[in-house]
Amino acid sequence: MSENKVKRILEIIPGFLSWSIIIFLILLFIVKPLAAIVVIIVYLIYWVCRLLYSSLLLLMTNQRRRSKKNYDWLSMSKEVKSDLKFENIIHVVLYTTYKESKELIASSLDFLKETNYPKDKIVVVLAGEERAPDTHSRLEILKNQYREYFLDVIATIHPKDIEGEIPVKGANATYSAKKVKVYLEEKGYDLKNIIISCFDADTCPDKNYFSCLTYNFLNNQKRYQMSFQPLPVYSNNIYSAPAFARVIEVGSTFWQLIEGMRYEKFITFSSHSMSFDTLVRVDYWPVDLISDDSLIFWKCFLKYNGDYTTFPLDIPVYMDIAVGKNWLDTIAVQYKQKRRWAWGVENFIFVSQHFLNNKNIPLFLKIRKLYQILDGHISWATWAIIISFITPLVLFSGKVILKNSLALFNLSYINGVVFHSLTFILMLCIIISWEFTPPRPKNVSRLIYFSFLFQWLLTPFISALLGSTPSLDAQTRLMFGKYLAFNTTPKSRVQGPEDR
Amino acid sequence: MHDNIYLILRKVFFWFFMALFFTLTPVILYYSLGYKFDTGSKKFLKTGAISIKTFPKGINVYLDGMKIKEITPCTLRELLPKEYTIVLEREGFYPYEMKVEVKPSQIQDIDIFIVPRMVDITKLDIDLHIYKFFVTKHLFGETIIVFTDKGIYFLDGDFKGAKKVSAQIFEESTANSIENLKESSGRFLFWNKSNLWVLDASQGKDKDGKYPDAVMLYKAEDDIKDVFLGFRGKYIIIHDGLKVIALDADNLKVSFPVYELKSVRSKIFYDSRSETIYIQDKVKGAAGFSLFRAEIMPLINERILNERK
Repeated sequence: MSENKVKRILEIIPGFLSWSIIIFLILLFIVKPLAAIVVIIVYLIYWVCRLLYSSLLLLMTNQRRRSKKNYDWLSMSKEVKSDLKFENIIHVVLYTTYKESKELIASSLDFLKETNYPKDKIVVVLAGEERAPDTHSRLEILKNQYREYFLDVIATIHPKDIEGEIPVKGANATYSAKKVKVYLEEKGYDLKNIIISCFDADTCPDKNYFSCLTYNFLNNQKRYQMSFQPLPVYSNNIYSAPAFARVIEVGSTFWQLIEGMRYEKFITFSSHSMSFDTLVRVDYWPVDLISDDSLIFWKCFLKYNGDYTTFPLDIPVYMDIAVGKNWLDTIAVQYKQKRRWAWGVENFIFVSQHFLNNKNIPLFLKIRKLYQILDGHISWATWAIIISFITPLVLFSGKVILKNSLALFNLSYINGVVFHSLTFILMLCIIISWEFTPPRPKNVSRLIYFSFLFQWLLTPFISALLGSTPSLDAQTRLMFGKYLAFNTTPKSRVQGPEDR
Repeated sequence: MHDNIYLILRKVFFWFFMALFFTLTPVILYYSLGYKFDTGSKKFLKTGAISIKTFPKGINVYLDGMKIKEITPCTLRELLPKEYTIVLEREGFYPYEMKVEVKPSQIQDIDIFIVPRMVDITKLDIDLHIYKFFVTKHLFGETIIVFTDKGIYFLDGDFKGAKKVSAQIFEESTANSIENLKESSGRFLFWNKSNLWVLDASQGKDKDGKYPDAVMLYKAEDDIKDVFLGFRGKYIIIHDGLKVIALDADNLKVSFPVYELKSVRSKIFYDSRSETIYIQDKVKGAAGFSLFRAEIMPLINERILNERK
């Protein structure tokens, strides 16, 4: 079978499975209502178990993060016993930019400036796009403005229409990293001592980020077979973002917290760091796929025949909540952002294709990894539809079809248990979310805390609206070969580092 | 805590929830479908359930004579398929007994209203012989106007605050003949077929300690069929036989007919909000009735002002 045919079949699988689950449940209810009730009861029990397990992981990982909060990472990284020397470690911080304003990038660089790591060990790379207007002048101004604070500031402009590339973030980052490699080699640096952090334009690292990263890099024997994942906290514009956007993004942060505890499943997401040497070995980020952040992990995983992991840093990087011009536009922006994240289902195709050609990775590991990818994406595309639409549909129409069914009566009882579990988890979320809320700017009323509290009441509506549909949309597009174009999330911010 | 401890804990939780899922699922499924393990016969038996809802809640439930722990609303589960006798009982309510057929894997819904026993009957504790009473509603509740052998009394809805408003004693037969009562600004109009009275209860006793008497306002030429208050009680419109008569409430001498009806079966309705009279009356030469409307207040105003001059 030709490679293209295999690719098309693989592209169909996730969407086909998700739609099959949804259609199967609806058809089963029409043909054998009692059987559908049994299936939904089993699904709800599974869901409650998974939800409670995830909540415990959230508590554990948050506790782990809190326990390390007061570590003096800088001293620890200077004193750690390692075959590499702290003094030789250089950080390359690569900001991929597109149309973001000069002020927004400057705000992120101000944050970087405030980190406690020696700035003479940090090279800032501003990776711009030729496609965007005024890129050259914008980056040049920033370069000159911040050069004095860091070891160096480099600006690269990614030319448009390079053959074999599509307009995605990975292509820009790759182009820039290649230029940086030349720069580093010219300066005589050993690439094994270089750590690259690939940040979005709005990424503001915690002051301990580079110290913690350096410590864990030096302390890990398998540092070249490991990516380092910070905790993305979407809070830069939390005081100006609409309530429902806050709830969604706190949810994203919590999801990363939970994932951080599942070591064997954990893969890179959004802003991340890794050895520059490894990046060169795997031939950089993919230039023709959208999910560059997760695909770089899989490239490394394949390169090292499955012996590659992602290390959770438990140190946050602060990012912007995706917002639009008004709340309706914000819904659209959030939907598109989640759909782009859900487009990560392309990992399944990429990994499957490469697994077919890789004889060194054990079969069990291959199956396990493919199952993990599929499970994550199919659960994402179906859970909210089953919980928010199919279960109520069965409960309401079942009262007519199966008037006196004991199973239907019990389904409504179990559904109640699910919602009680959700309430418990919501309470947990409210408590933990306070820890990620930055100090209130002086120009914002205290009354906003009521909004922070009551925003959680929106959860059922958000789950129904944005829980599964972006993922199902992405999988359906992939299934029909209607590929998603890279859609940059608009960035706007009212809060700078001085407000934090 | 060392990172490894978290790893171990995570694995423990993972396997715990995995075991929980695989243990709970068959148990819940069997239970949901109505199965019950009978330790005696060591077999799974198919059962049914009865869901009981009552108004009010909190009623005791007896199943085949045995009181169950729960009170309504409740669900009686794991019942073997057969006919059961359910009794719902609580002090102060009539017991409710019914037969319910339980079928395997099915739930029987019972939703009933439990009737309270009438134990809270309160008797008026004033020694009065009641001839007739009327209830008028106002902003703060109700007032009961009672015609008695000792005069006319006002009572609150809960029988509190009994107040004598007139010492006038109507004969029992006259009091019984009173057809209706209307109130406007403390003045009470009441009538029978022959007479229309007014009682001004707004002033209370006079300086000599005497209660006001009801004044006879109008004596019918034919039969008083209905009475309406016009222009905030200033005018009284009376349907007397074939006549519609207007009365100046401030000057009882002034009365005049405003409309002549064609049939004794004709009816009138006076809408005090729009000051409009609606008349169901016959048209000359026609067999049936028709409906008319007229804004008669300008006419009444003019006539009354002329009379006053």
